[in-house]
Amino acid sequence: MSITISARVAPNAPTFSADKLLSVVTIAIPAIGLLLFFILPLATMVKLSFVDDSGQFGIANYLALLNTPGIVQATQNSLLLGASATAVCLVLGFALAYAIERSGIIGKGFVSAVLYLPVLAPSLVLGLGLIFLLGRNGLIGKFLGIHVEIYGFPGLLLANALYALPQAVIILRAALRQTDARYYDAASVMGASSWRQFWDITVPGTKFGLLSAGFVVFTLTITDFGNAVVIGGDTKLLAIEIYNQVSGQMKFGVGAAVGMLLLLPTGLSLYIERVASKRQSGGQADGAVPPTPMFRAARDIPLFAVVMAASLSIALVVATVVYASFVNLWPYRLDLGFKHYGITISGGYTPLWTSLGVSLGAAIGGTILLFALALGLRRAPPFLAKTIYLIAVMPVGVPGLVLGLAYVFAFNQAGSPLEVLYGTAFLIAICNFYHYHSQGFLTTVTGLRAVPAAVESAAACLGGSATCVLIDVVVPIMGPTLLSVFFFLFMRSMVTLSAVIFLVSPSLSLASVSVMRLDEAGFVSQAAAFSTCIMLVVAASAWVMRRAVAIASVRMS
Amino acid sequence: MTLEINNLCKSFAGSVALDRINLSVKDNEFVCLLGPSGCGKTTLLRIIAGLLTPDSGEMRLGERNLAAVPTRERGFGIVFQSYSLFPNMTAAENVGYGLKIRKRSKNEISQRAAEMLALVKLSHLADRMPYQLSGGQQQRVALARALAVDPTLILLDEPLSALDAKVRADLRQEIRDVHRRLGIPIIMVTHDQEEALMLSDKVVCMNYGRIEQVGTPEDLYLRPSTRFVADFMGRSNLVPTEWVRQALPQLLVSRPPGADDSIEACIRPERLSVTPTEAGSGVIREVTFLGNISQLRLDWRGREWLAETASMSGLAVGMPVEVDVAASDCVWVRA
Repeated sequence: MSITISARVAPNAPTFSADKLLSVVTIAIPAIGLLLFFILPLATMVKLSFVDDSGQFGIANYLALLNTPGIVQATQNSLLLGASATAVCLVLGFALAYAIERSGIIGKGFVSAVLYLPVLAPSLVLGLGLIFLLGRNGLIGKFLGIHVEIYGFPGLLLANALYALPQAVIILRAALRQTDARYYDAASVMGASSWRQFWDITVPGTKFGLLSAGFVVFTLTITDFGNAVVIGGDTKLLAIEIYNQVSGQMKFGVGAAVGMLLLLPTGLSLYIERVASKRQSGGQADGAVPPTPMFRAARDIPLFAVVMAASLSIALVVATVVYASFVNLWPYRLDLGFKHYGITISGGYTPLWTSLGVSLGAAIGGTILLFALALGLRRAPPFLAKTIYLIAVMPVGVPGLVLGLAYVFAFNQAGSPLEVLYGTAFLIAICNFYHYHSQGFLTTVTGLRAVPAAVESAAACLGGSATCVLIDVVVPIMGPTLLSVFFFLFMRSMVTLSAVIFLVSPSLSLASVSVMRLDEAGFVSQAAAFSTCIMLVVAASAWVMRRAVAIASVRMS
Repeated sequence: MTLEINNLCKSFAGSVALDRINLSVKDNEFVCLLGPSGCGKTTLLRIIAGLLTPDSGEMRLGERNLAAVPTRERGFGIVFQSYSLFPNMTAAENVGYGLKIRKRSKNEISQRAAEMLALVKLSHLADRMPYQLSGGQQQRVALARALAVDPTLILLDEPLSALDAKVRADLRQEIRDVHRRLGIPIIMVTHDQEEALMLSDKVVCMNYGRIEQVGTPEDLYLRPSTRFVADFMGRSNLVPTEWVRQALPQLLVSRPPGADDSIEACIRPERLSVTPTEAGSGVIREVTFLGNISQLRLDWRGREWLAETASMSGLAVGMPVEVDVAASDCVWVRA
């Protein structure tokens, strides 16, 4: 707001300095943020990965990596886990997405609601639920006498697949929605059977959606931290190894090298997506008509079985965690009570409040910065706008684990002026914001595109200054978008573990870390209670968000 | 107040959008910028509005040099093709927005908004949101909004292009009435020559960033100065000098001096006299009935001709006809 004031100092200035200053500031501050808190940490990591212990420049760290005991095994395990989870999620995800978008099954509302559950909680809640059901003291083992070895690969696969499934479904649903109904009409007129139409229109139309969902699931799985700790058992995984190297043994160079390797799959996926989106654009006509869902028994009855099995599994696992948090002595005395909610160890509920503060900070600051950046880019010269746009969408290619690692390298360095930030809640909030920068940025840019340029021009001709136009026109139109960006950042910040695990300290912990620590210490029921609290907070804010967006949208149109 | 534009140039990334534009718009004048898409007409309008800055050239409104005046201080009104109403405000709030910025009292704003909405005959829809209005109604509100601030100049950027034919005709009449009643100079961009002919006092015909011809609608239709204008404003038969010299030498009397290939004869279809006769040297190739007139495609003396005739006297394909052109019906244009 100092922008307008400083401009009024010189009212006789012939040029429109206030507006100019506004556009400079809106682009400069977010850009500096990106440089300082995204480019700088990553650059530090790149540099560190090529500098060995004696300060020599070279690939010594990468060679050392090969000789580090367990790393090769961990890499193999992680890749296998990633590939399996991806396969499971693509098949199930497509079935779910197709069922919701195209079929005539009942219970779509239930399925959509269930798919929200994993988003509300840290990923390890699914691992926790599986242990309550199938673990050594699991309900199923006790009452049905079936004993499965859930710790290790099977548990990891299940937990990760259930966690990543909703994200795959979101992407695939969007892909299915894009196909124009008129393609199907045309194919029917030409005499194609519905089976042929499925393979010739539906599948090719969602090709890129499948590709992008596959990469999302793969990356989520190989960089997931929570489930690896909770249900991994003796299976060595890359995420744990990297954590041990850096936080345990302080081998920064080797850690940086692993971080670099973890950038590879997402780098590749980003490249493929860019190529894909270029190829797919242009095919979309204006006013595309989405296909109407129809009931076909031969297709929809089996589909219904698959969809219900998948969504009931998710619901069951999450519900078990909530149930277990109230059970007095799992699984022996199933009477209910609140005794596990009296958490006093590992900081009690303080981490929950810290998470709340950090998430609000990341969401408020983040939404303002993203809005400013999107606005600034609109007025920036094309070359600058393109460059900054590219940097702004890059964080999606950096897994949280790698970002957290890079933050350690950049901000845990003695002598750096930025070291003061290390160990502060402020830095954690910033890390969360840049972790989810791309999605927020793209949403904001898309929202801003919905503000017709003519509206701004018209306001300017009527005599509105840039600030006037912003407050009276752009912000009201953008309201629903900004709200959803705010709650996206908030909810993600509340549950993320992989980035922040490197930034917490004994005196500064977060809710998701607390769940992990409680579980590690053997207080599984307390971990469940803590998870339930997190889900409650996140679910409540999600509900508030839906209401707020609905109200804002109704007022608009 | 007169708007004077001198030697205005603008290019985008190396390609010339406007090339040495000179134009003046007088008090009360209705000026149309007419031309095909990409001719620079919208660029010119946006520069006048201050939404774009020219590379070089001068622009004055009365005594005021507009170069240093930002859009919002120019005091112009503008209406775009579509989607320019503020979607978060009612029709009345949209119309009153310009006054709200000028910090007028609530009373004055609502009074003025009501007055302007009455002017465009939308008083009954004052409290509607833009999405509750039809395309034509939205454009009326946009017009009222532009008028509400007592602009010194109104800019219309293809305001009718997105509308249905019937609505377009109504709104065209509306704009004409408003212009007559308020006497505010208007500059309108359009690619529709009929619209330009009907509304303007002065038509500026543009092509490839240059002004081809400026004149009254009659000037442009009856006395086009270039081949482009002759072709763009209605239809014409354009005939090379060489051919005229051989086949219709009587037309050469009005030809200005110049090389053969630099000047062409332009003969409007309705100026061609067509008489059915057995001994005629022309043949009808096609007849298109258009209601009030019929359009003919003829072969005559080795060329294809377009003719229009009001008479319905049994013209049929393959019929021999005699064709004639009076010297006064031929205009010479730069090729």
